[in-house]
Amino acid sequence: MIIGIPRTMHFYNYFPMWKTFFSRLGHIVQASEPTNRSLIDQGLSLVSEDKCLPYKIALGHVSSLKDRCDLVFIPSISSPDKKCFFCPNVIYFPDVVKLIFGASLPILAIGIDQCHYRKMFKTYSQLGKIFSYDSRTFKAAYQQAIKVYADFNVLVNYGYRADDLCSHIEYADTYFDLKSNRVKAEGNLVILLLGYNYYIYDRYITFDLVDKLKQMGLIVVTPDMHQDKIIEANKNEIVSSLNWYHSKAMLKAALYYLKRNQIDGIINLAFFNCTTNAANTKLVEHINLQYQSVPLMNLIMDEHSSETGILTRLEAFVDTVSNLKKLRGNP
Amino acid sequence: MRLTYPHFANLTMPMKWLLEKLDCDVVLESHNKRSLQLGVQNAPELMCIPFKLALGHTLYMIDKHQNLDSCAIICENHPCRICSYGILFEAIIKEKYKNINVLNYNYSEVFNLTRQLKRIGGEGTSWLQFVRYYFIAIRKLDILDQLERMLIKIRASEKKVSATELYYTQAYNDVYKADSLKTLNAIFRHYQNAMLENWDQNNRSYVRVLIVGEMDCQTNYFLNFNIQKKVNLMGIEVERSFWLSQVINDFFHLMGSDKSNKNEIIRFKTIRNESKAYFEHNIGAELTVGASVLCAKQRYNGIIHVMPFACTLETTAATALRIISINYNIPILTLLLDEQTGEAGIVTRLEAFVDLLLQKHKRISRAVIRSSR
Repeated sequence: MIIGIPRTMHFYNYFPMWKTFFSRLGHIVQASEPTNRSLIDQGLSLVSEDKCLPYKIALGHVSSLKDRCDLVFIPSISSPDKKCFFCPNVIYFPDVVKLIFGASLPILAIGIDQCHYRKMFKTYSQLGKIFSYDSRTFKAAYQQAIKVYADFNVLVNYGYRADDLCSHIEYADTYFDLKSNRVKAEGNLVILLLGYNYYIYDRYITFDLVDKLKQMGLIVVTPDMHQDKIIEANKNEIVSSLNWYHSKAMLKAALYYLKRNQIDGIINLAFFNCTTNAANTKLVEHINLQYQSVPLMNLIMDEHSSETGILTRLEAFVDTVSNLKKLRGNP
Repeated sequence: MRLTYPHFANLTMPMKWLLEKLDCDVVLESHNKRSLQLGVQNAPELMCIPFKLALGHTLYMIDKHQNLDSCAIICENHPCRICSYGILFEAIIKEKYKNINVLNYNYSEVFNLTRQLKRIGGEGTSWLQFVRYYFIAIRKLDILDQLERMLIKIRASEKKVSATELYYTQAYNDVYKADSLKTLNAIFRHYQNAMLENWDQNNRSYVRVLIVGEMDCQTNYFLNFNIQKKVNLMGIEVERSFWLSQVINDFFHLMGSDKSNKNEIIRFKTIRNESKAYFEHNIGAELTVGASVLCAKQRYNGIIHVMPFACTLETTAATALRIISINYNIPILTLLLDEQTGEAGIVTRLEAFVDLLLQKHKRISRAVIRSSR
């Protein structure tokens, strides 16, 4: 059986795990192709214009898998943090896919609780039952998947790009051979790029933002790196009273690096009509003002933004950051 | 303590009465253009309009009354934007006015909220007294909701024009002054009878619509340009899906005492059951969808869906509403409300929608007469 996984939402967090799990059970796993123009057009025609661009693209990814696989895997994942939620768009995504495509697209939607080990095992064993396997094959696949997931998290914490990790692995065993691709920690300026996994790593809609920054000689830090250290910012008043998982991660990262004086600038990358970012823009500014404030740019994009406009603003921002660093360095 | 807080549904007045009983000075004013402007200037651009109105009202009151010392905001543990209201509000107010105390209440922790409210009264009020005030305030909210529900039904066909609305305003003032449950019940009975007498039941309107959507858009007459009244004056009965008192009834229902009718369109459990075919998750969109399905089954003639621009839950619900409209053959009008929305645009769309409803009704009734011959 060919199982399709759309390249959206939780893809950059859990894909290695799912891929290992299904391929161990003897299925072919097919991820949808990276975002391109025709995919975006497909998504735009399916949903009302009030949604954010990543959401429209997500629907495009799902519809591109329509005739290429037997089953599309769209799990609804509850937040890894107990008191937190994902954005309502993410929570409702499987339901909306069912509404829009109806019976024409066979969907495997299952609720996965990533925060309890036992509950997670139960849901995966349900998956095993759906495909009717005996418990021994299933358990071996599951344990392998868990191991790969842990390795993946270690690598991401270490500073690897999650999208490179997702695209390179073919089998779980060849996992640690990637070390040659390591991000080099050299250079003068460090920039914190705030945003969510599902669009930061999308090369098409962000116009290769991460690579462009690297070409300018900057080191880019994203919120999902160094998760184990960032946890200490949990005690902060603003962070503890916020209920969105993704925003919380972003604010925690901003707090951690600002406190330590480790970054020279912040870029807040968001899409028009983003639910969580409406509040985030203000809160990041607020946190930035509390500590030694660094230059902050809110980059809000949608399907109409052009590459030149983004590039101009990036260059201006990088100039500001480097000038400020020189000024502060030699008073 | 001199306090201000944002308007919310019919809660504004009972809350004012309760806080005044706790020796608190409450300053309130209705929304106006200046307060909306202040909110739009100070809030983040993509935040939804209910937050902008709440913030604008508070800033306006702080500007106007120099001796104001605290303001309150309510938020909820919920994945939608409402969970960030508290922190954002506090951050914005504290940046501008450092000596103003921000009271941040969480709506999902009911018992904690009650304790915090009691703390406003200080040592002077006992728990017994406070609980008595609390229940009277809840009863006030209930009465206001019930009378308003009658108002938007009866106003479509009344004997003496605009008398019902007059009764409602009188009732509003009387309910505010009342101090005990006994007088409250007497007031309720009196105005209920007065309103029913004014109802011309023989010439009752044969077309009725349901208003669904985001709660602040349904209840805030400054924001939705009082579409209830506009539709009523075209001779059409209106029902609303959100009543704040129903939320409280729902809470008591969990404790085992709900007297409301099973098929009632505003009953939460019924609504949730209806929406199961469309949504598995219950975080807000199912209320709109469930109410729409139920009203389509109960032969309502149309649905008006109101939402603030970029509301996540309601845009999700709108996806399902398109399918419901086809499945049940019921017309749906979606109105996006924003600080940019003009009254004339709303009126034009409402008139066209009502025209279509009336024509459809005529066509169907003619077909029925023809087939009976």
